[in-house]
Amino acid sequence: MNAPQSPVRFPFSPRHAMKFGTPVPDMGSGPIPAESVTSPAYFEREREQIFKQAWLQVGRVEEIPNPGDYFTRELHVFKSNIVVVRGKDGAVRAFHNMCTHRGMALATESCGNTRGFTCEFHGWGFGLDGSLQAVPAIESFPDFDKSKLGLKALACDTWNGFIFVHWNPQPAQTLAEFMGQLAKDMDGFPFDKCQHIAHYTARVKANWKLCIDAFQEAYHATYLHRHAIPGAGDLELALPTSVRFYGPHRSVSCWLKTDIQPTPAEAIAYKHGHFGFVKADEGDSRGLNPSGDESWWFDINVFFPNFFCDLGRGWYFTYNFWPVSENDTIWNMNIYQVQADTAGDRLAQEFTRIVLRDTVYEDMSTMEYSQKAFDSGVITEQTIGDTEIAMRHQYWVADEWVNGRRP
Amino acid sequence: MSARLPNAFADLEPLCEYWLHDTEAARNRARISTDMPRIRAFYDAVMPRFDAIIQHLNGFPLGALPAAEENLLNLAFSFVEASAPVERFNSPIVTKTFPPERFIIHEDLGRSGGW
Ligand code: FES
Ligand SMILES: [Fe+2]
Repeated sequence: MNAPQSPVRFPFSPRHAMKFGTPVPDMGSGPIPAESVTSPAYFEREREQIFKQAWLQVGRVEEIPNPGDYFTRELHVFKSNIVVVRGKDGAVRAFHNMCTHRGMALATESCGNTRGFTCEFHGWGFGLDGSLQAVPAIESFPDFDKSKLGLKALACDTWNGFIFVHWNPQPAQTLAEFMGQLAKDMDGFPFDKCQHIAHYTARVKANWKLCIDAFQEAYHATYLHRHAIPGAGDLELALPTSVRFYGPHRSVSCWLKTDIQPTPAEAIAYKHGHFGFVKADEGDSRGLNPSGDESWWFDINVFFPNFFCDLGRGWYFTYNFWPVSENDTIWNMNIYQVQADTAGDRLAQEFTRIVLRDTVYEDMSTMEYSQKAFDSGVITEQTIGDTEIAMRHQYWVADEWVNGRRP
Repeated sequence: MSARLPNAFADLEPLCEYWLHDTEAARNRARISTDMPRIRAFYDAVMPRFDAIIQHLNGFPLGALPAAEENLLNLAFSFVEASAPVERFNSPIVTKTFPPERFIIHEDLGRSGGW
C-alpha cells in the first residue's frame, strides 16, 4: 500500500524520526503567501473551483434512520440551505431547500419527519424524491410542465455512514473515486459501533484554511496545549510520526509519549472503565496507524477540502470547517466513542471528552490573531517547517484546484 | 431539602446545589463561572469518594439508573469538569483568549450538524 518510507530526522529530536508513507508531491518549499487567506476574490474562486467541485460531508445516516426523516443545513459557501432526506425506498437524497415556484424554504425546521414537503407559501407539494406532485390551481399556469419543476438536487452518497453532497447533481467523480485510497484504508474502522458523545461549534473570524491549519499540525501541541494536556510541555509530543499524501487528501499520524501518566482522578476512572485519552489496548486496529509507528497516538485524516475524520483506538472525532467568507468560518466538531457499558466506562469517556474539549478550546484562541496579522498586511507570508507539512499540502492543493488543476 | 443522592452519598448532598446539572453545557458553565477555591473544595470533597461512586454506579444498568443514581452520575460528571482545573491548569477556564459564549456546547447528541 505505502511507498518505502524515507525517514527524515529532525535536529531537535534525537529519539525520533518523521516518515513519509507515500511519495511527497512537489509542492515547493518557500513561505506561503498570505493572499490566499485574505483576498475576497481568491475566496470567490475557491467557492467555484473547490467547494462546488468537491464532495462535502454534511451529516451521518443515524440522524435520519427512517423514511421521511430529514435534516437541513445552512451551507453559506453555496449560499444555500439544503435538506437531506431519506426516501420511502431508503435512499438518502439531498436538495436545495427552496421551492421551485418562488423560492420559499420547504423545510423550516432543522430536522423532522415528513411524508413529503408542502410549501407554506402557495401549497406546492413535493415527494421525498424531490418530484413536484401537487400544484393548487394548476390550470392557472400556462404551458405547465410539472416534470421540469422538481426540487433542485445535489448529488448525495455515503461512506461508512457519513453523508456527503456534491454541488453538481452529476459529478465527474463518484464519492469513492474522490475519497480514494485514504478512505479505503479507513474502511475497517468500527464507525457503526461508535456512539456520538459530544458536539461543539464556534464561529471564528478567520479564513477556513487558517482554521484547518490549527488542527492539522502537531507542532503547536507542545506549547499551546501545555495546560490542557498533561506532559505536552515536551517537544517530543509534538512530532508527527508519519505523513501520507493521497491526491488532495492527507493523513498525519501523531505520536504519544509512552510515559504519559493519567491524572489522579483519571486513574481512578480508568481502573473501572475502558476508554480514555491515554493509549488503550483494545479496539479494532484495522485502518489505524497505517505506517505502524510504535509510539502512535491517533491519525489526523483530512479529506479535502474541509472534513477531518481523526481515528484513535476505540474513538474518533470529526471536524467540518464551513467557510462563510474569506475571513469567517464555522467550525463544527463531533466526538464518537465505542459504546459505554457501565457508568465507569461513561466516566472514563467523560475524561476523554473534557480533555479534548479543553484542548480544542485552546486552539480557538489562535486563528483570529493569525487572520488579523495577515489582514493588516504587516505579515505577508506564512513561514512553516516540516512538522507543519500538512499545511503546505493544503495551500498547494487549494491553489491547484483554484487554477483548475486537480491533484 | 429532600435527598437527591443515594443514602450512602448523603455527605455530598450540600454540593448538589451548585454542581448538580444534567447537561455538559450547564456543568461547564458552573465550572467557568466560579473561582478556584470553590472548584478545589468540590474536588477535595468528591475525590476520596470517587472510587466508591463508580463502584456503586457500576451496580446498575447504564441507561436505566434510578433517579438518585442518575443524579450521582451527573455530579460525578461535574467532578470530571472540576478535576481539569485542579489537576491541570489551575484556572476555571483553560484559556481566556476566546470568549466562552462563542464556544457552543450542543446537547443534541445524535445530531452532527446544527451549525
Ligand atoms: S413559493 Fe412555494 S408554493 Fe409558492
Ligand atoms: Fe491543537
